Amino acid sequence: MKQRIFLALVLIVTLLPMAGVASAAPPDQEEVYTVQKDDSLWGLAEKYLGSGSAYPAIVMATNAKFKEDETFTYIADPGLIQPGWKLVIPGTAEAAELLAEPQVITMTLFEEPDSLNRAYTTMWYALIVLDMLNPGLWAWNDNLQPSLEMAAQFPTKENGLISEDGLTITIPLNEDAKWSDGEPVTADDFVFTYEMIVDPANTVMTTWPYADYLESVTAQDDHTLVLKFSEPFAPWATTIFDFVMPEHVLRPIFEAEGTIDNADWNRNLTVVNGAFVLKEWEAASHMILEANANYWRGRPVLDQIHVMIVPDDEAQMAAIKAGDTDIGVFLSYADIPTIEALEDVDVVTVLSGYNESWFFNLNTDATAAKNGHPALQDVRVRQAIAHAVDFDAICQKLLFGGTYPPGTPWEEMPFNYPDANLYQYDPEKAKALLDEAGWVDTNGDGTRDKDGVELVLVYVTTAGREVREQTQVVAMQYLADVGIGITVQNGSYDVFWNSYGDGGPIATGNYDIAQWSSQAEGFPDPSDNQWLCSEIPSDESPAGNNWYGICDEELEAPFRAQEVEMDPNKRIELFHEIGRIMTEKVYWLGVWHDNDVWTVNKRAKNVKISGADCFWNCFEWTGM
Amino acid sequence: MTRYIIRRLLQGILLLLIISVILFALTNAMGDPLASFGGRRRIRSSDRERLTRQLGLDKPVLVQYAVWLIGNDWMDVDVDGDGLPEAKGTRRGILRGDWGNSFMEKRPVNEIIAERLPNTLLLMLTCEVVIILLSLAIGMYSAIRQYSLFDHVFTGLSFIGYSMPIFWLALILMFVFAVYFKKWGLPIYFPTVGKYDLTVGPTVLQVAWHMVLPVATISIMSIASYSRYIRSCMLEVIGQDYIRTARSKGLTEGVILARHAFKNAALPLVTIVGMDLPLLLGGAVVTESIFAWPGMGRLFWNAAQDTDIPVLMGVMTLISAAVVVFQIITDMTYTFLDPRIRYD
Repeated sequence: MKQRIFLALVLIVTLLPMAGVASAAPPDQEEVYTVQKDDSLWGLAEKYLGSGSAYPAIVMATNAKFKEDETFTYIADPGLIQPGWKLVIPGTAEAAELLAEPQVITMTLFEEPDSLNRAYTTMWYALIVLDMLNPGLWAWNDNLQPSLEMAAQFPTKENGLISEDGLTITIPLNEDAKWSDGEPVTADDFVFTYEMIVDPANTVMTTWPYADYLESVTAQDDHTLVLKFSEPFAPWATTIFDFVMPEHVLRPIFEAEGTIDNADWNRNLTVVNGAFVLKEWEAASHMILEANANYWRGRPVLDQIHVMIVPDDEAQMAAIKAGDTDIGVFLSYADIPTIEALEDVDVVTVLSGYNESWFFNLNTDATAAKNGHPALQDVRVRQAIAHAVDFDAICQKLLFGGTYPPGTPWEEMPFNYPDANLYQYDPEKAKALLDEAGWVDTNGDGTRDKDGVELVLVYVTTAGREVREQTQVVAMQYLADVGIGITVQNGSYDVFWNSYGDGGPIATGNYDIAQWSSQAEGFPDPSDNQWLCSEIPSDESPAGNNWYGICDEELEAPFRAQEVEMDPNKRIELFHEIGRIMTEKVYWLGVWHDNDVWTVNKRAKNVKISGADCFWNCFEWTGM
Repeated sequence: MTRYIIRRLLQGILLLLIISVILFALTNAMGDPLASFGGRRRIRSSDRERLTRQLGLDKPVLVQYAVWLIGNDWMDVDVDGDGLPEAKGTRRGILRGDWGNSFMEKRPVNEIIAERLPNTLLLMLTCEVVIILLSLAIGMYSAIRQYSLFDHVFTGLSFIGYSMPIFWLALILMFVFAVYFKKWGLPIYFPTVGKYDLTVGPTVLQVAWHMVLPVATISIMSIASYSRYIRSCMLEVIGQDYIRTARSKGLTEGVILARHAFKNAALPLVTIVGMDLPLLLGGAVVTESIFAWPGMGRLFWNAAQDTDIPVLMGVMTLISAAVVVFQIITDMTYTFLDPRIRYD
């Protein structure tokens, strides 16, 4: 800041207009330059500063001058300058000083990672930091396509790297990939990672899917990894080896202590394979990441990334407004209007695979405690509910129009069924359907009934989240208007998603309509086993994920088929079929498409945030 | 006197044991530590069972307390979570100096506390000094110049300052002095969050600059209440007979205040400060969260949300021990300050 004020003073004192005259020697003082046709920043830097790559100095000097004098331009995109723009070309000394300042991008997180070893954490904040430090075979980019990192090729059936039966996958590894200490990344690192995850001596978070589906992981040679599956596992590409541990660092520890639970590397990441190394981590305060000169793509342009831990969302908003942070995380839809009013900050919504959903309790087994309301068994009642609630209005009013109701759980992905939005807001149609299904208000108490049973549904979501509670109030009103009564019974978020075996409220069927934000487990892979018959939990198999009691052969067939379908186009067709069935039978209703909301300051360039591996392209980021 | 101190110390140890039992029971009733383990993804039921056994959470609460207190290296534990104990435990218990490992961060609790404690002490001791100086100054001046303009203004400000919710005050200070000052182009503006500017580094100036707003937030509320207290104590002291005697002896007002009134009026402050000092260790939960100051308050808050029992027990044991010790010290200090008080 002080340097920029100094530059401005120098400029005022030594104002020498030089309208684009080419001079052989670089000037020692600043000058004002007007852009001519066919000029480029690289060319100007080449001409005036001696080297094209010094162009950031021109950008920084011009943008600083813009703050004092608006006749100069603000260069938002160095790749695009227009003739007639007024620029400041700094003298060589000033340029050198500007370039010597480290290029930094700052971000704020709400919580600090509990561990930087991906096997020991499921915390989202840890995973996004690890995107920058420790990628695996590939990262999923902002178009949900694989961006190769440690792998040299993405295996498919066409290129022969996936066997005919789909059980053997051969992955050639990137021969340029190195650890930050110079050791090459080899297949042995991956084999070691697998061994550490499945070894019972390590208290890892989960062994899924390594222990469940992988029969063996072998190194055919230094740069060829072979995975052998015990059964076809469709989401293999998104769930296996999204990170890798350095064998040369951790194996000695494992052999000495019998476990890597207490390894210093788990927090200190002394050796990494990503674009940045962890230079400093002051607990609860911040992390400083520095460019990794040994990164296989070459040293990133950005010098440092500063990660600040800011637990309060209002404080994050203050930091965004003051420009103390370049990337803000996890904003709510209500914040979007505030951010859009700021001139130098963009709102970025990213497909994350999450959709705020309504699930219906369709259990009908012998255990009465688990069963849902009998009315829900009739598809006409579910269709009536879909017509009765105006989800569009909810998105407009409660979420400030920042999003819309999704058609299927795979909204915005190629797997989404295109004709999913069948149920427009139509309370008259809802009433007609309910009448047809036999639910009428015989006793005049405001809610419909049939055979002595009142149509009152138990509506459940997590307590304490304001926007959810507001949605409940609004939905209750819509449903009351068509004669459906609602009892709200919210649960604490820390037990809400407990499994049947752990007595979770949803898993044990204590709801009729349950609302939460749901994502397929292997996102961006669409596979989701929570709709399968076999996943209905019971005392014999308490770990099942199908808490809705849906057992429909018509739905089962395409789900089973997609699990083993390796042809991407055929898989999309299967999901369209699934979407059609789920929509027609109203097994699921979308409340709002729950994309992640980020803010990115305009000074941070090339930041493309992915919904799967958020910071996958940090090697391309620049900040000026 | 020595016997009194020894007796108090022994009572203190017994008290700490009882406190630790109550705290352990309460933290274990708070919720399921494993519930926070699944971040955005659920962990499987089989993993939860394994983790429960590996962390020793399947044992009865009394056994878990015994392990926390005296360790488990004298018994077999289930290291791999398969349900069968096979190896000796590694924990030595808090009585032998092992505070346990955090469930979330999987590293020793005393390491975590040692990282945060200096930040908290820096913030809180600065606050305490500011609070003492300013409340003494304001309280005494208000009492000496009772019903003057100064007194009325500061009485009003005290009521306002005391009634403001601290999170609101923190955010208002942050938005006005950090965001809007910068937006309006004022030459001096404060930073929003953090302990220091990462591009500059942890210099004394940086840390001090970043401390201004958090210290102001915490101090305003305490100054509001303590200054009232000092004011009323001072008024009471000024009305005493010995002050009239001193005046009638011919001493100047200034000497009376300095030699007689000040010490007597400040005595109750010793009690308050004595109670405050151990609580300093707990930090200021809300202020630290809002200003992103890496202290003990935030540690405690996060641990409470995650039901990270070893961290909670560690922090609360530390504070309890400090309270017990400081109570004894305060009582001892009284005997020095007030000759009328003696213990036997």
